[in-house]
Amino acid sequence: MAGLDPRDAVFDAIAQRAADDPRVFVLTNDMGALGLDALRAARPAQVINVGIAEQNMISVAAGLALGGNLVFTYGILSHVTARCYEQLRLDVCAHRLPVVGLGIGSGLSYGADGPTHHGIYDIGLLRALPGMAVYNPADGLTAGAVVHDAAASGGPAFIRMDKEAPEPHAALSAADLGAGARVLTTGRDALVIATGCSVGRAVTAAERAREAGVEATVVDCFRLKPVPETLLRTLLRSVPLVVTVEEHASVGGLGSLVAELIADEGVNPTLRRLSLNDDVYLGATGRAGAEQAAGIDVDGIQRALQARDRTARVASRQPEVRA
Amino acid sequence: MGALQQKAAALRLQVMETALAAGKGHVPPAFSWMEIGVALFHGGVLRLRPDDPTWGARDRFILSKGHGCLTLYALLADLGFFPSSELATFTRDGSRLAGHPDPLLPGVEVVSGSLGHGLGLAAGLALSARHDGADWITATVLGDGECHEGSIWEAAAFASHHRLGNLLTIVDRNRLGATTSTERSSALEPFADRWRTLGWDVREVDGHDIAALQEACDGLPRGRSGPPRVLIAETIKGKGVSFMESSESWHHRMPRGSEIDEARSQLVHALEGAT
Repeated sequence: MAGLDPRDAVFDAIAQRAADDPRVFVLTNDMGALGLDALRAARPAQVINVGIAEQNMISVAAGLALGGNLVFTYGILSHVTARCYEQLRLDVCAHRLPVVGLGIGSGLSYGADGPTHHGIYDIGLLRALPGMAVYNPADGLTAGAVVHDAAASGGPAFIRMDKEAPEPHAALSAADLGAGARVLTTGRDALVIATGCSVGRAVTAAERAREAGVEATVVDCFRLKPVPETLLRTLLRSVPLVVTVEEHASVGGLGSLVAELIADEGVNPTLRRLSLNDDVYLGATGRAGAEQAAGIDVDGIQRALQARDRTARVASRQPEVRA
Repeated sequence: MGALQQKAAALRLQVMETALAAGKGHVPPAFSWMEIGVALFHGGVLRLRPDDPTWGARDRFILSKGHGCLTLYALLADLGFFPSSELATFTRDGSRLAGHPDPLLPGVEVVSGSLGHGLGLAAGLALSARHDGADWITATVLGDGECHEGSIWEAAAFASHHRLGNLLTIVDRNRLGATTSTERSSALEPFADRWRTLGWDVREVDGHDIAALQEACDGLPRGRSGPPRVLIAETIKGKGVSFMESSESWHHRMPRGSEIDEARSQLVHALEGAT
């Protein structure tokens, strides 16, 4: 059953902020959205289509923010991160400006459109940017809520948006928003930390594993930076097995940040990082099949939870050794 | 010779001494926009308050060709944005005067040094001012080699489309990139036509003639829409030191041995001739 579309929720939240505030702008690289059309009709001077020019979009956004405005930039995730990465680093982050990136198409939302449109490398890129808050909401309710959180921060932020519109979990509490992650189910045998579209898969997998006698805590990590340290550090101390799940390449994403946290914390649970491969997915990529192959679908997560040999690695994740 | 020419001569010597003390710096790219800087900062183009660097109604200035910062530092110190004695800290550990500028230093609006960012930033500022009904302008100085960056042309099209008449762009057209002629690496000509085609109000001017630069900057439509204005300022990279002028060898090279005395001598002589 379809739930609240994350993109609709995001533009609804922006419309609320812009309703009586002439200092809220939305820039787009010629990407459309119903919510954007509505906002343009209501506040025409505050919605600007810069054309397909991502570098300039971010520089102009930074200039508008220097002038005292809150600026949202919107486009396809893969295009509005890597193409304009230096503008994000220097124009936005170096000045700690309130520019909030909105990227539609996280993970393999656009899998069938080919590798140019895959949003599977950006977490590593974005979280390397100093001062950049990175949100990866799992559902529409969360997506709307983090718009306000990002705007209130007064600094650089980026919100990944998925094309899936799952039935939302309960609305985030103020405490959840502050924490950056929340516990959806609890169990003592394992900790599943999931983000974005993988959260729903992880909850289902944990329900099935529970029937098989493995009780897992499932965490929705909707903010990847700043890392939800307080909650995660506490949870990491309490379990023998940690499984991270993300629809992102294996380098630099959620699994990497949890590995960093485990190292920093000095705890020693077994860590299984479930992700897409460190690879370019050529051709039309079906989301379900790619998730299954990478072991980030419900079955794959369940297998990781119930695996006897918890140190086993996923063979397909091993880099190919070339002679 | 006029007071502004004297100012340019004095600041050229200051730039040279600052670089010599540090043992580094992009001197020729600083020299090429000296008169442009003097016209903007001393010639009545920009409204600034050195004792209140973040004054809300100030005109914004972005040195997009950040490697030319020695001239910006000399100008800002001369106006009193920070003590002139601080010039001696240029590029030292902990100094606010890095090899490329950033807003740690009063009077510097943005980080610059990676080329191709300034015009888009300036366009955003200009749009913001117009949206607010404010009458401050945004001015930016670009290098011509910088105009090899595609982002410059994204921003140029945007500024024209939005009729950002409160945006003043000056291109330091010294015809040299870091190692060779701009025309040899990837020709920019017909350069002025590129801007005209995009709808800009193009003024071609001698970039070392301060009066001509002032005149070309005159009458900007503060707070109003119109074609954005670009000055194609024909300049000489390394202007003021004969062996640096228009030389492919002189981008960030520092004078050595007898070159130091010769450079100083020429700059002092020019200053004496101006006073």
